[in-house]
Amino acid sequence: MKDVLVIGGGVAGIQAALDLAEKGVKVHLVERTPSIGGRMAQLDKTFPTMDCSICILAPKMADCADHPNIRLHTCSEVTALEGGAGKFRATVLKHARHVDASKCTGCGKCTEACRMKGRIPNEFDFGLRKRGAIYLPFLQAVPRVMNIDEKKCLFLKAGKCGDKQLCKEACERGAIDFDQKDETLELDVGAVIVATGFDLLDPSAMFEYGYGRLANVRTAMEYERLICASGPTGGHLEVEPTKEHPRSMAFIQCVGARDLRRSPFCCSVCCMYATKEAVLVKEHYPDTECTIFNVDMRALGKGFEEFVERARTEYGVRYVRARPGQVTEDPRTKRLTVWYEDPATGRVTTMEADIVVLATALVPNAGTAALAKVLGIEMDGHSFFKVTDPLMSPVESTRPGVFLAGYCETPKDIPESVAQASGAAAKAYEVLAREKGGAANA
Amino acid sequence: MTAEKDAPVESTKAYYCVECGKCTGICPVSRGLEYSPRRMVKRALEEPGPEVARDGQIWNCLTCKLCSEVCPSGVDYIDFIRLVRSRAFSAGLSGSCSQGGQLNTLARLMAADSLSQNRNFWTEGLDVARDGEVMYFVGCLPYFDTVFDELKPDTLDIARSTVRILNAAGIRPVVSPAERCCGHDLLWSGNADAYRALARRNMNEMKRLGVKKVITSCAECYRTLSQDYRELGADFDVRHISQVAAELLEQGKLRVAASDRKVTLQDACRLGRHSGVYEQPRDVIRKIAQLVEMPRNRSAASCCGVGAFLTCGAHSKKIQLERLTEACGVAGTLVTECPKCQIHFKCALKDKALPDTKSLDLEVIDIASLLARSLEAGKR
Repeated sequence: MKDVLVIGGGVAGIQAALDLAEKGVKVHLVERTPSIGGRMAQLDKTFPTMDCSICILAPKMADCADHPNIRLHTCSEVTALEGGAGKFRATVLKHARHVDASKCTGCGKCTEACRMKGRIPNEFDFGLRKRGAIYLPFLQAVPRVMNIDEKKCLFLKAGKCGDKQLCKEACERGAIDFDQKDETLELDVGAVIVATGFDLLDPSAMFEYGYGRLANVRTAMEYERLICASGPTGGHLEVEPTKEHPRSMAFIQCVGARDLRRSPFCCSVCCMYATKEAVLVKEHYPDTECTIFNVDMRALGKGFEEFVERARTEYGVRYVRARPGQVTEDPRTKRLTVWYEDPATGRVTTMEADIVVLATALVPNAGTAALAKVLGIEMDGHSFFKVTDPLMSPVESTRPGVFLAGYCETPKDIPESVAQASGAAAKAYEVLAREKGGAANA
Repeated sequence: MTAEKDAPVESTKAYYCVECGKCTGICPVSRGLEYSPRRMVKRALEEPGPEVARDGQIWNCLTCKLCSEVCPSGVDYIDFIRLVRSRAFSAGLSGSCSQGGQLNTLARLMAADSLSQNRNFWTEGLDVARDGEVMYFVGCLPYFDTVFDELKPDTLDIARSTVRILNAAGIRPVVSPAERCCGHDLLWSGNADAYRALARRNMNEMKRLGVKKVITSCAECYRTLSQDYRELGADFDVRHISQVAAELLEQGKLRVAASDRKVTLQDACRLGRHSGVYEQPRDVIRKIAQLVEMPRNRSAASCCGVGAFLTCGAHSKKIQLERLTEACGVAGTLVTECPKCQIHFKCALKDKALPDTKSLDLEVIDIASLLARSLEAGKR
């Protein structure tokens, strides 16, 4: 049976890869960044059960790494896809990590030694923590292999790093290889599954909320890192500049989402994750006031409405039907004021908040259009990948043999992404089985 | 109901409103007066027809466009207000004009057939033409110095400076003695008929003179000529003096002396949010002074507090005071790009009822005046 190419190592890609591997199919899992895990790895808890996100995902990530049928290609991207269903030939560009994966144990001694240590914003924590030029993207990264940031490494950039290369000296196993080159792989695969997930809309352009300018305005994803026990603050929410915990928090929903000039669609998960995030505040600091500003409550999944009701009644989370017009700051105390129209009176009302969390729109990945071109598949009007029939073929892209899973197809939550991934895996398997049958008959 | 009846709702896509209230949450007027853009739209949606025009609150809007800038539904709220006001005006209603209607009356007078204006007395010593392709549209500057006599706004310095800048680059602009008010204030206070009469007169005059390019020194003239006249069939190119100056400086056609004085810029709503011109005035300032931004700049800029000379009152003064304080926090000079912003700010600075303004050490100057001074300095 032919192999399958899975593009994207988030929860959807992982699920599709594991499903196929369990069926005995060899899978190439291609991930652009140095580690698989995707967005789910960055979340603190999941709704509505409040399970620890990484605790659920990490075993699956490890299974991917250990599975005899799965080959991980991290720091890699697909650059061409020739042929057709059953007999694709994919070209994968594997960027050099400059670390020999067979020797590196991920001990971190190189990171400690790096001259750039603590000077480069860490992508995983949205810059809330700083890393070195050689680094492990996050604690539970898979593969547990260090990566050198070519653009930041002094030696790779300028051919010189002080009087000696400290990381190389620190590495006891001689794993660091500055001469490592990018590789190009040609893979023969029967089917392709695309699961490239989403990006976050940068809210800095929305001046009304002051993101990037006001210290205590955070995005929801930053908040996930801040409230996470393994995050940059060890799970403590800190208000600038006092570093005390917040007494009052405001969550603003639909920031750039359901906005005709930005992302007109509903991201489908923000009502629920904001509820979860507010409940988390209450669990950490029961006396902290939490207000969620939303236009409509979209609690459509099983147990979701009940979860919101619990947030409201048991935890005392306040929901206000409004989109705030502006967030302003007291320049002295850095305390924030949220300006909104009270839906009951029609008057402008304010609330004071120590931290404001913005539920920014979740948009198709920046590389979607380029990948669509490489794969020869179509996008819809919102730049999600298009399915041939949203009712009856919810995983089939416009190119036979290429299947879609997760947020890159349309907004959806984790369980929906996982379900679609299993669906895509099953469809990919059909192609392989058909091809194998055809070959046997020939 | 007919389509005509609900023109304000239809053409501005007000029906896209999701009643989120974001507009009200950012509206500078709502923070002081009984006013909610969201409720205005809701009224228009719930009671189609002329009812909403009877709501006196429609005159409170500054038409500064901050609401539309953040509206997730893209409702063109200021155009909605313009159309509702037009309907109100037709029903005999009007807002209270802050100068006792004087400016509105002047504008209406200018719409008359026989009119003898002495509007070019200030051009003495400057090189201007009687006809040609490039026109400097002076607007109401010759009138402002008289109307606002006690404020000493010296708005004619803006006109002189504009011509000096053009002359310095070898441009000899047409300045027409038959020019009329562009009609901006009439258009935004509902008097669409008088506005159209003014517009047609100006357009005919420009045609007669063979004008292909119009330069304004007023942000309101700029918006009106470039957008609203276009709707009436105008096809000439319109540029604000800051745009022209930015190009001339870029081409090395103006010799200026750079100063290290710190200045900040008031983005006029008509030039900024209405027309998307943000960078060229900044390009000009950077060549002649140290530009420092206020926290609220470009599309986030605060309004000067009065629109179309309607509803100036205590709350307008509060908006102005806030803005002047913001400017003072970063610079000693506030540069304006619209003579009206300048008049309103100078008015607030001289207002004895505002004790706080005493502590504001701030010079307010138009971008054309600032550049012309720098040209003088460049000669030495």
